[in-house]
Amino acid sequence: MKITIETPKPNEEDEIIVRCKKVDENLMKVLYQLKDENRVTAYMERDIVKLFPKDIYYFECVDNKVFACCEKQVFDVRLKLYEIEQTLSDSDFIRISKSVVVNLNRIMSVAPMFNGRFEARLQNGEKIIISRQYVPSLKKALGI
Amino acid sequence: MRFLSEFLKMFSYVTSGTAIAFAAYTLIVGYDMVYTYSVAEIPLVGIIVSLITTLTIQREYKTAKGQIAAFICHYIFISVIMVVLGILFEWVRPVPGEIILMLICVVFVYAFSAAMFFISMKRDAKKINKALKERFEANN
Repeated sequence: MKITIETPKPNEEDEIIVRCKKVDENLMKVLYQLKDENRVTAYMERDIVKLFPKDIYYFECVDNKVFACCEKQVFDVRLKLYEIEQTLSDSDFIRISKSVVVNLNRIMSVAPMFNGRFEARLQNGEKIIISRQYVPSLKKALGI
Repeated sequence: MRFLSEFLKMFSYVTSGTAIAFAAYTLIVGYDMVYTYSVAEIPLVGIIVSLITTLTIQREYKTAKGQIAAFICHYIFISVIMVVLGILFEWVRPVPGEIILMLICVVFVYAFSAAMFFISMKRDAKKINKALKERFEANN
């Protein structure tokens, strides 16, 4: 099998194109591995689920346990917040307080609060606090 | 760096508020003249109060009660410092009437600084919301 790696143009996204005569089991395994790479393993009671980062609104650490909060469901994630930050460093997740890492694409708006903090309103209507010390990194992530 | 930027921001608000309160106070009390060294004392007060404020408000409280208690403690602390500095700089005499007037001035500076801080945050929120909107439009 021939493998070709091309550099995309500056305005193009990274892309994987598969050119094959037949999609066999081995190829499917590779494709699943590629798709799974960025997925987050989460637990809900006895079920294990693989979450796409885009479906996760934020991660929150409560009593040393980390939870992935999606639109309506909350899953247990057996990772530390800093590990999540490292794992998803290439995606749109950013730390906004000591206990929360949020998906930037899920923030609808922010509003100022008491004592220099901001309140972020998410697409599912939930409101979370942005700590004063993390506001500069949020602004940097948004290119302000 | 963040401490310095917060300190400078607080210094500009506190000093402006103190200057306004000082001007209002001298008008109310009816001083005929103001000593030139008072001009140097105002920024000095600004430095002291801003330094204490920046150092004490770093901590964030999870509950509203904790936050309000912290604000009350901070206000009492600043009031005591301002009364002491006011007597030291001869802005006020140690008589109840003038001390009460001084405390009212502290309330004004406090409210002025808080309002300026909030306006600055609203400006930041506007910028962030604009960036979020642009990001949302680009992604969809």
